[in-house]
Amino acid sequence: MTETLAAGRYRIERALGHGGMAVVYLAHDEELHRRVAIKVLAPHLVGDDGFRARFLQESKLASRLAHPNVVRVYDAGETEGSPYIVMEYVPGHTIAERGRRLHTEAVPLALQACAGLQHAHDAGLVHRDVKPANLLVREDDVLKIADFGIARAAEQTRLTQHGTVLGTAAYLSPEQAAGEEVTTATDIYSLGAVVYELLSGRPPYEFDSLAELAAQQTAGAITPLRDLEPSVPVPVEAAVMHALAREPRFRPPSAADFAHELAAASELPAAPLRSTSITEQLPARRYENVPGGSALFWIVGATAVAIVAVILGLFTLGGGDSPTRPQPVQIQGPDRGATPAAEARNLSAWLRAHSLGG
Amino acid sequence: MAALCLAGCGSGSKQRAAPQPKLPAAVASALASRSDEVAQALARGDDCRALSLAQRLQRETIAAINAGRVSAVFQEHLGSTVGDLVSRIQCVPPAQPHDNGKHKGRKKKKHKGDD
Repeated sequence: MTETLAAGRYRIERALGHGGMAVVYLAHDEELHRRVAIKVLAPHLVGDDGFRARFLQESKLASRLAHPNVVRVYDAGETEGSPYIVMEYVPGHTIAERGRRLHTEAVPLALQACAGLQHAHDAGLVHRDVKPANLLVREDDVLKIADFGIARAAEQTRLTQHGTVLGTAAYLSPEQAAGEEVTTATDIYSLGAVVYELLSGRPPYEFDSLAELAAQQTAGAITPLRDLEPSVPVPVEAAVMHALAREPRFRPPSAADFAHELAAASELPAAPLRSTSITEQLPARRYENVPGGSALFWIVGATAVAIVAVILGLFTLGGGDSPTRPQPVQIQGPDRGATPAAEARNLSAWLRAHSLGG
Repeated sequence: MAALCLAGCGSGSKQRAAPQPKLPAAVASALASRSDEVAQALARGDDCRALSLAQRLQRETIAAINAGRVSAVFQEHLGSTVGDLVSRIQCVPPAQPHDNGKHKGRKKKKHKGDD
């Protein structure tokens, strides 16, 4: 491993961890003067050209996500033939490392995970590998979801289909385990499995092989949470079990809905999860299944659109001065500033400028 | 299609600007004051204090967002700017006097990566 990457821009400080697919280093971005984490593809995967390409492509898609509960992807490239991803450095621990939690601690973390997932889902990205190791928690209890896009790259390669699965299978949705289509509901199930384990100390299914897992999932018999941890309130148990429904259509329809259920169950305020943020939209919503609507549906819809259009068109031609639909609001962020002090001052001025009565 | 054309071809279409969203005064004022404190600490050269204040600002920002007190159009700018600010401030504690190799005191905190 060289001590710098990208023509000296990133100076490697030390290794942070080794995973099945990659090695993660702590590094310093010499250009932006900040610490970053750099994930370099493991040597045994470097020879797979298809995987390399997907690794970089998915990283670039993930780099378009910007949310407080998602690990930012800053950059991606290749060094000495090994692809790497430059990410936000998150000092702290994974959610797995602190083990079991009371519902008063677990639910706020789950709400943050829901917020991050909803943001990604709104942008058309499904994580596909939500598990404790991918949920990082800073010392101030801010949760960040790591590795968006990596799972999609991985699942298409034969090289990673063996060996990595059992460790993460506990969080795989039944449809994923069956090799069926993956949708946002998959992430909701996986998060539900993580929350179940946080609260009870064990994942929803205990198994020794994938075949055994598949059999248990087919039977759909999950031990009720309160049988394992009676202190969990009944509504929290209900919300978690809802997320763990075997059929995707019986789960909460979105991460935001799951969050609302959990928040209501815990009497906590739910974050404003339905993203209307200005994150760049991804080129396509790969998970979307446009329902095969009937001809009648389309005829009725087109007729309704035509009627509205005629009314609007006539109104405009007639010189009506009623305003058209409001333009979406665009807010400029504060100037970054040449120094951190300047950035802090700019932020302060920006906040006051956008304050009610400011 | 003709209907759509009729609608789209009208002259003199006027675009109304949506009302400008605002931050609640209490939230904006509290975060701005904290940001000022960060700038002041940096101006004094007290980078470690500045980092601590910036981290507090970050916690307060996230709490405000999670409490639904920050309109969605501000969330990304605010969250990313505060995150960037925290990452730019480097706290380098002053060198300790030589202790003849005796180490007492605190354990190093363990940091885990993103893997």
